[in-house]
Amino acid sequence: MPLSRAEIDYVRDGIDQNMRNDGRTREDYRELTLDLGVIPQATGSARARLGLDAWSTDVIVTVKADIGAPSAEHPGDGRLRCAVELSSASDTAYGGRGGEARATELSRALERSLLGATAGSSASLSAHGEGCALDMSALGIQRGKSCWILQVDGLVLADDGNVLDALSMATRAALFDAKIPKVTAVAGPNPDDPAELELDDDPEECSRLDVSGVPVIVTLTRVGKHSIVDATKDEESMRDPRLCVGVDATGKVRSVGKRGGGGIDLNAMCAMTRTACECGKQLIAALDEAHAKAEADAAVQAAKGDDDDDDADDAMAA
Amino acid sequence: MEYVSLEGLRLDGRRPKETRQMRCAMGVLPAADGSAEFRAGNTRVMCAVHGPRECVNRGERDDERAIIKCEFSQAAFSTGERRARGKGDRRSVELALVIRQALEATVLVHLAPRSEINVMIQVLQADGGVRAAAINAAVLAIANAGIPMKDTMAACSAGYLDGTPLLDLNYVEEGGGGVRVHVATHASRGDKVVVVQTDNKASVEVFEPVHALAVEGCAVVQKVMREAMIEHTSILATLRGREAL
Amino acid sequence: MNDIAIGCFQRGSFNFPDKPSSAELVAPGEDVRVGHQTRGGLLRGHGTILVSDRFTATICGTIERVGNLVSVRPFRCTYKPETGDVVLGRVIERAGKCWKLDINSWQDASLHLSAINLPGGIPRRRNADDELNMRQLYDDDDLVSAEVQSVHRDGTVMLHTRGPKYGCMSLGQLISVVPVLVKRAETHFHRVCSDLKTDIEILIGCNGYIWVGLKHSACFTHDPECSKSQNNTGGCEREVFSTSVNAHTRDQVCRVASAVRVLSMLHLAIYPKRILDVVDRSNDWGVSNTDMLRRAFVVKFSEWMTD
Repeated sequence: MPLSRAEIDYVRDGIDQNMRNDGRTREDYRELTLDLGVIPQATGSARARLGLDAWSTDVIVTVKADIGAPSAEHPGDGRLRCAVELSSASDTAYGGRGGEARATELSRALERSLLGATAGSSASLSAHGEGCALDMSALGIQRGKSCWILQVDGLVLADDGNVLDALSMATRAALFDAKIPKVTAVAGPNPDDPAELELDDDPEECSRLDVSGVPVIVTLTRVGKHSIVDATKDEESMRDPRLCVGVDATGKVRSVGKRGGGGIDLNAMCAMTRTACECGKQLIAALDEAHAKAEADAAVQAAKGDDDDDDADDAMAA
Repeated sequence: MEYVSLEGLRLDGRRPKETRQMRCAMGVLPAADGSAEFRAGNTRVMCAVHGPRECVNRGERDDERAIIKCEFSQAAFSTGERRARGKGDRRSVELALVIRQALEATVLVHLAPRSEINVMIQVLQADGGVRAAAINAAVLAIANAGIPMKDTMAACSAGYLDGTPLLDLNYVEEGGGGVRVHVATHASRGDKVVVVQTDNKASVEVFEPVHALAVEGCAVVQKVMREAMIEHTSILATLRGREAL
Repeated sequence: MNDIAIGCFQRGSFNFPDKPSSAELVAPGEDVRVGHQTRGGLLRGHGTILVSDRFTATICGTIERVGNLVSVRPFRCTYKPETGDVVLGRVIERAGKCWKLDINSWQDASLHLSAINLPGGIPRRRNADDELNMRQLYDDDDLVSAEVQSVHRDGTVMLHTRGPKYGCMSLGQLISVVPVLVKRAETHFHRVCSDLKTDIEILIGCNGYIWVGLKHSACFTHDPECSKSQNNTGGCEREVFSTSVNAHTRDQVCRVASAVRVLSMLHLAIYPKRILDVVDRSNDWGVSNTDMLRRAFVVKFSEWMTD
């Protein structure tokens, strides 16, 4: 719903006074709820919600590991690709082809933060740059022949603003959750032939990804003389310029992208980047804690789920 | 491949006339006017209902009744093999149309003339029976939005493999090549059949028992859905019931 | 940046005792039974249809019987306008001599040019100039408080904003909740004093749109009277809303608004006393404004409610 002039003035004035409509200060995030392993058929998955109930942004991100061919530039490395869908369940405006451009924008922003580069069209796999967040060499299987391809799929279920940050948090969590099966390449007599691949189904043998270098995206919205984090849909609807900064655990900038209308003063932009780094560092610390907690919760849930199945009475014979 | 073992058990350990475990949740997307999630085994479908609202497109407006718009989309990660499905592929369009027609026969559309009801279906996990699960999720979401309906429409599928009629096929069984019947009924109105679709060929002798089994399955599904609705309503009722109204 | 609290918040996780007996609850398609009889001499009310001589529920809810009238009361449904309802609406567009307003119902409402008080307050015939100047009165996207003047047979809703209480809303924020949480009452305009110093205005619209703000004086976006009293530049500058809100007042408005959100999350009826309950608890427990919309507070409040 668009805001009236009077409401916009009130929101802006509130940001000026460091008291936003939901009581937050300019640097406050909404409460984050993180669940891991929500989509069992994926290699790794996470659901992130910012805010509560009807005032929340809700996203699911899955990571799927498939075996494919490595790129010519990096024959010994794995590959990664991101795609985001905006569910029409979140907003009727995303019905039909409604959200396509925005979904592509989000996919590319996510990909850029992870790979340090985006190359090629949306159809082809991106090559990763120097600033890649994951150790891609760990995803290589047989040099030049086969490697793991990580497909990161995001789905936006509810949009109350700041979708990109939520997606990046869920992506980091889903990568953390991912369990890559152990694969052994058994070379044939001719070293040029693709090796036979043996997959080990044993969950104990799975390897985990090192997510310590994976950034989160902190989006700062410039409103007047100030910038705010975690803007709600109402705050976003004012069409102010936004700066999306990918920040890693050490507070380094991984990617920067400016969106929205209007321009940002150079000095202001530097200050915003610095704020984003500070926020991002704290955010990652909180996320790492959340990962551990969510994993423990998931283990408890799984144990409980097994119990449920035992005395299931929902399944009935007709 | 053997779909029914000598002991009469199916691949996932069910008996032939047994549904998978079903779970219903309502109000899963609180920002929508109504929402629900329906799970049957590993199939998991979410639905959000927006409206009834003033019809956006004047040309579609009906002075006598509400129009229902339905959209079906399947998340790229919903199947075992990743497949990016657009919203506009033929299967989604057909499914959305089938669901729309079924809902038009169920919702009391004449109560909100000149409005539109948007039913947005999102598949999160597809492991067979997506058609039925989508209808069930939509019905639950409409009930959650408080939109009046003639009956709790429930949907179920049945098939015929290894000479046995099987209820509520999973993904593997759907690929088994036997006849598949998808049915949705108004079970409390004398099993009135609202949707029926078949895949693959079958003789009338086979079709009849399979179809009858699917109809029986709908009654079971309806019971589960009703229980979930009552449970959810009772939670809302208590929260509100505490007030001195 | 504050610590990010992590946890999972689920509606169903609250455990409330004394649920109503399941006999009083119905789902669509179920028979509506009152005692043992199903029909004899009873009148069919909302949420029911007649199927083969039996009352059948069409929605989820509780069975209610007033005299001979049997109906099903829902716990979530679309707002149904009734004459005399106080509502908040958002201007969608202007069509001829009418504004179209979104009132959270299944149809937009109409506000006719003749159903408003013109600036200056002198009653007179509307002329062509007024029609051209409609945007100066209520512009697109403006939030307007109004009363339902009439509901036509075909469902068309007519509004009016005659009276000092009605008009454009400014200096505050809107919260949209499920309409059933609002009960029709004698008055929907409330002034609450959350800390004995500041008056906060709450307008609880019957349609589930709730406004929390400063003392609301009805005015038009471009009311010459309003603009004149605040600045003399006039013209197209919309300086009507330039009045800044001091930090303390804003803090109170936020608290009240958050309280409304908390009640909505718990699906509790929204009225001033209950809103103040939430605000008071938050003050008593030393919960900061930021923390009011966190799970810990919502759960703690729900537990307090059940005690």
